[in-house]
Amino acid sequence: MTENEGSLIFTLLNRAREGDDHARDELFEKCRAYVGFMARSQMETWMNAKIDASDLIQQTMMDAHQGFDQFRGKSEAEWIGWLKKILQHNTVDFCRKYKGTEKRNANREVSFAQSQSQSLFRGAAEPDANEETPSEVIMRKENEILLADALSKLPDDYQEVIYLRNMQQLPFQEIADKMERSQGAVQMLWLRAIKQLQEQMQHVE
Amino acid sequence: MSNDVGDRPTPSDESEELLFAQLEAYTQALQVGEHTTCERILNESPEIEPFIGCLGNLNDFSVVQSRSLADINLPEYAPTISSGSGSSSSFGSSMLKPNQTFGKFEIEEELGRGGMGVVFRARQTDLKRDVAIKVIRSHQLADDEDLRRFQIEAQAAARLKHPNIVTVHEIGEVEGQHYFAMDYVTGDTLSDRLKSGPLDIEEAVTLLIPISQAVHYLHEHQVMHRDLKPSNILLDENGKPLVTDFGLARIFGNDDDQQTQTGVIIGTPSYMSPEQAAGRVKLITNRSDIYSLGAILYEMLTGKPPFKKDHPLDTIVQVIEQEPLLPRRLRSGLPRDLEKVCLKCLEKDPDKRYATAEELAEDLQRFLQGEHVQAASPSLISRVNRWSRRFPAASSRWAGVLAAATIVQGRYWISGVESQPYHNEVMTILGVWAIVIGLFQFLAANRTVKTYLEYAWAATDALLLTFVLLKVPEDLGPLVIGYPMVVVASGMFFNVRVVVCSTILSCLGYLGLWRWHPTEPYLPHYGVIFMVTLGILGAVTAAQVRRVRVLNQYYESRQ
Repeated sequence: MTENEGSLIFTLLNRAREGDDHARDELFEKCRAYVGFMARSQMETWMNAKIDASDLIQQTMMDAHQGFDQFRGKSEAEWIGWLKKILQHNTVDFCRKYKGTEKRNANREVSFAQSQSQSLFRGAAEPDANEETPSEVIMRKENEILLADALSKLPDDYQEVIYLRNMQQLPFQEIADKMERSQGAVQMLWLRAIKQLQEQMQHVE
Repeated sequence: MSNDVGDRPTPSDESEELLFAQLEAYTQALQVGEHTTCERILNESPEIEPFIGCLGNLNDFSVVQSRSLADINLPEYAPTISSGSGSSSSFGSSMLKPNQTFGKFEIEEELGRGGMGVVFRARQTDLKRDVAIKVIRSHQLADDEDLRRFQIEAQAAARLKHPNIVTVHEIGEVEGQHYFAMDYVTGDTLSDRLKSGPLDIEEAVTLLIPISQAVHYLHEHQVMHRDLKPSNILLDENGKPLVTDFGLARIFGNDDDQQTQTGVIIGTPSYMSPEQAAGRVKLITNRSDIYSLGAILYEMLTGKPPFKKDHPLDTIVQVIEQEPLLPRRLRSGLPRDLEKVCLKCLEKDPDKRYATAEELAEDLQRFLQGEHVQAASPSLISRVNRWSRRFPAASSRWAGVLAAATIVQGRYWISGVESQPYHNEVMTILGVWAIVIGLFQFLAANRTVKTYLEYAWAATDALLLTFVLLKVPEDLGPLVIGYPMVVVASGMFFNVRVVVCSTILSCLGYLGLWRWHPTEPYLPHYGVIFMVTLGILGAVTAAQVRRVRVLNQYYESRQ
């Protein structure tokens, strides 16, 4: 299963690189949810507030689209790394706009912008795929992009509870507060969401 | 962690409840990075097997997100700028988490974050000892050349062993992340210690002697520290000081030639020598470290570093141009000899400082034993020099008033009677002016009134000058040059509004002369020309001041 899923993005990537516009559109369509979750996760954790990240997602997808010719990597990992770099770069800009008035944070962002623009500059040509974490070594892997895509097709409250529990890593008590439901209800919601996500993943391809 | 589920409400039937408990337990173990627990749970309840792919991957989203966050957090340079110590970040996540395995280390907790990386307490599993590991941020080692330099310098540092330095055990790399492992020291930094105020005199001296000896040891091994400051001095449980982070400043951009490349001034310039602050790379020697030792001594004795302003550029300007307040002013009862030692370290000219850190240690030893220190009292000239650097606004004005008084008095002696009618009055006003300057300087030391003080000072200058000139019944001729001088002098407050205020008041003062003085202006259009020129001069001075302010903001935003 993992092999097949992996090869879907891999195939799309290669066909898109050979000039298949249809494959390219599909590739971007599949990646949109992934960028979306990453964007929201980054912005919200950083800003400590609920933020509409749709502009950031839009901008990142556009940049990736326009810069697609410059992407030289071959593997999925390189593709993911490349998307992440663009996203990070844009996140800086967005956060700066967002928090421009808060001096202390603005200062922090300037330094960050520098370091990031440097690394972006260096990394643009050859994205470093070498960003695996130790935990990934022993886990059986699903494909990140396809998982995000499947997640984005779940009902909104399913997405929300998974986002809060698994990505933001909040305890259920806090999730219950945020979603304005009882703790038991959000636990149940989470279980159903995970079940449905898992089913979705089985049906992929 | 799975047994607290029983009393939770809903899950409708028992199998769901069980499944929830298992998945939640697995998720929790995953999130704290306990992989062995994960495997155990999976073995005990194989029915969750279909889900672990999803859960693992969702968790990676989070890990990925926190790693990029760690990058965002790091440039905060927490130990040097914000709190002065390596307090852990206010932001939640870090790139390595407790219990995570990192090569042969097991991460235990995050100790702090610095300009170049994050420090963790970790257990070295093969040698069963606690170490502090500093994980370098990837972008600090931009390319192979940086990496090579890092390895060479860090290996050089790793060869050094001294009872008062933190030993670097090894340098290595785990999955692309470079690190070095050092002794783990329990205890605070000197910077933490100084938060509760200055130290006892004897305690301060006893502490600085071994620090100086350690620095001397580094110098003997051709390692310059370049970033000595209280937060880089650890105090172990017995209060023994240990110097850390030596020899690394150069690799990680604390060096000035690096600064110009990156545009970032790292850390507080409060402990930087003038040559470092000015970026005069060629002048940076071991004696720059001696300056920093002096700055640390100063802070231990007085409770604050020699120079510290809100804006980094202001601090840099002070480090380069001004003299610190005498320690004895800030702490009465401080022995004069100790003050001499401290000021000798803080000399602007490196050649006037101690030649070696060992000499400093020896002089401090002499002080402790009640002998005379070798640091000589400064000569009269250098005392005047220092004094005028310490109070530039007052000393420049005094110089001006003194010069004027000397000329007036000289003329009186030479030509006598002629000038008698107004001689006394002019001299009196000049005398009053000199006293007023002293008064303003005294008030300026008291920060609370400072903002208005600058305006008042500039206004008084213009006013007193007008009084003096009004007392002179003869043709004033070049004497009106006093007004341009007043305007330029107001520029020394580095405040555009003060310059504007001073220019306007000078023009008004001159108009006063025009109205009341018998011969001024000699020709009406001369007066107009003079006032226009005064306006232009004020505008130029204000422009220069503004330029300095803009530069300051630029530096500040880079901070």
